[in-house]
Amino acid sequence: MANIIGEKPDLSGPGPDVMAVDTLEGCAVVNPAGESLGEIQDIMIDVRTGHVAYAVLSFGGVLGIGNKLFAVPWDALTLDAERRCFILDIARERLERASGFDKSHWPSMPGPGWTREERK
Amino acid sequence: MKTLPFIVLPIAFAMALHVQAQTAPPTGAAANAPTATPQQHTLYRGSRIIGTNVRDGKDRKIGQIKDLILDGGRGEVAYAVVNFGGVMGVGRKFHAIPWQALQPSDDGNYYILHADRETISQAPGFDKARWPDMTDRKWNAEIDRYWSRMVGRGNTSDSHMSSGSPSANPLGVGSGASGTGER
Repeated sequence: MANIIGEKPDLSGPGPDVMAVDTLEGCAVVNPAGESLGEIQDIMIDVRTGHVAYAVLSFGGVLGIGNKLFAVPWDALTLDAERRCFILDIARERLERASGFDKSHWPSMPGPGWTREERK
Repeated sequence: MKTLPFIVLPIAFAMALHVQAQTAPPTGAAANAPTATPQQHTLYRGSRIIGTNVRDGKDRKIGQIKDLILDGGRGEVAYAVVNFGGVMGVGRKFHAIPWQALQPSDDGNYYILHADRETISQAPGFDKARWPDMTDRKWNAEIDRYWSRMVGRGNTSDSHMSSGSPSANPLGVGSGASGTGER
């Protein structure tokens, strides 16, 4: 993550945004306007390096049915430590219009267009 | 119904190249690879890594991964939380193992920790019900120091640490897999 808000960044260790993967699942994702964008379903890890390739955002649907999955670059997510959720700067409408990735073929990398800079 | 995803708009193709060039290096081969090239089975879901077994260098099962601890700022796994079970006499405890000390098997179905029983039985652990503050520098330093002496992948490179802060990890825990895309 590029940014952390809601808590003073602690640069001395791993930082305040140390998190257990087991508890990440189900974490809410909202946009800066406060609209719900869904929740984190999983994260994809390159096991050789330990790097997070992307986070999997589950959007829409009910109880895992009819939802769409998006591969979101980790850097596009901002942890809101106070509200215990992630912020993703994208309009809900865009996710409504977009197709998620094929649930039986998880991608090897996130798609483009997730950060404001990329969309310029 | 409109099915055209924004990610395949023509302009996005141009951006894709741009984005790759800008953001690829930190995630190694996974992000460097052209989209058409299949990965070498190195990407795994976090939820599926949890629950996989840990074996020693002699292919004996010695434990199981119970959780992964992310350093969110770096976007990296800092530690695997491992339960070594009752075998080592440390069954009530969990252990945080620096990710770089674990070697994924070729098929990704288990992880190898090159450590003997004595190393594991003396390793710093914590009570299952009372997890430590993993942002604590002293704790980070203790873990990293212990495992850097004991194990490592023995590969090349020395530049990149996955756990703790650079200053908290001066000894280079199993610095193996850093940066290089090769297996």
